[in-house]
Amino acid sequence: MPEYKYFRKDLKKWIGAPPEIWQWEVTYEDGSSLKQFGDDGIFHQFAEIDQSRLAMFKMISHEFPQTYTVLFSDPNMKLIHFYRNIVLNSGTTDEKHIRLYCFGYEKKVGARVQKIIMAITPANNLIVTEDPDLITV
Amino acid sequence: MRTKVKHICGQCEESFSSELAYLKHLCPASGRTPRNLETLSPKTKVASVLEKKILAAVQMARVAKKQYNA
Amino acid sequence: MAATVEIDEENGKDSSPALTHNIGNSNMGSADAANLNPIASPIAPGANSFEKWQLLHVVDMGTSSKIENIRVWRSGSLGANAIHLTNASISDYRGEAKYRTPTDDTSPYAIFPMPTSIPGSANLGIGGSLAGSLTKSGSSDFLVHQIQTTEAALAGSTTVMNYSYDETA
Repeated sequence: MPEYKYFRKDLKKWIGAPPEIWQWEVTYEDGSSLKQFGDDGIFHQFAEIDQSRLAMFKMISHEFPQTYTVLFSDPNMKLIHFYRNIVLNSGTTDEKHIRLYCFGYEKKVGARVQKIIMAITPANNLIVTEDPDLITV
Repeated sequence: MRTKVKHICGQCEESFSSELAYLKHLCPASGRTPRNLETLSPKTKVASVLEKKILAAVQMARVAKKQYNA
Repeated sequence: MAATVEIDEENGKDSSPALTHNIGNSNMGSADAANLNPIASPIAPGANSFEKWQLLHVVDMGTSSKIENIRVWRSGSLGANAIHLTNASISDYRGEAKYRTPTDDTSPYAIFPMPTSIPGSANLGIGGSLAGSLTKSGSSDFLVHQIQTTEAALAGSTTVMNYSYDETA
């Protein structure tokens, strides 16, 4: 298993960055790419994505065959990506940790803000919604 | 400045005089330090065949949008 | 590496509190203590439990840059003659509660019903605001909650606490 690392500026040292089941990868207008878990072993934060040049955003998995792609055909689309972590039955022997891999975009259309969020569930199903708060477990 | 707080590990019940001491201790109940470590095994992926064509279409769309919005 | 998050509980006099990290349970009872044994500290019918003062504590951000949008809720029913109250609220959040010696008197902080399903948005703040976030190690505002019973209350209900938070990597 490859090892990835991330430089923590506050700690002034490299820390290990275990790969996620679902990882992002972006392709820029010029065809170049940036991977969350780089081929050089370096982990990249979401904030490192240059959204002004973003053409494609993908969620990929090294365990599953699917790739989920968002096409950024409009420079006004603002990329969104976060993990929704849920802890059920906290402190019990039945404690469960669930992670939803959430990604999508928002865009101003006139006076309104249009938002589309996709969430990859633990069963690797994809939910598409304007409101990720509707996704209950 | 906040009142001095005693720190206790909720798993092994050992007491510490500082949060740093708590964070550094190896908990006999959980078998690890409070800073958790997770690992996952990546596997091979399959690349999209049409990606170059899709990228070209996205590039053209972005240029058109920029001109429209200008 | 994902952020490392634990639930902590503070107990004792506000002049010399004890913070228990990564608590083993949220059992509520007639003592101000973390990891309570409810059988050893039962709530008498007509009485309140001691307040619980708990925190969602980000021990280490790992490779993540932000934690926000904290939600707390309970699963399981309490029975007809007990209510579970909290300071957590989507619409009426009063900001950060400053720690004070937990009481089994009627809590002035835990005044809203504890949600019994996942709230539609953040109901526990960070830095006093539901829109707050953590960008380095730190804790949420205190979650203050208490069970209040009537004299007709019966023992035997079991409920569990749940949490949700968003993490930007």
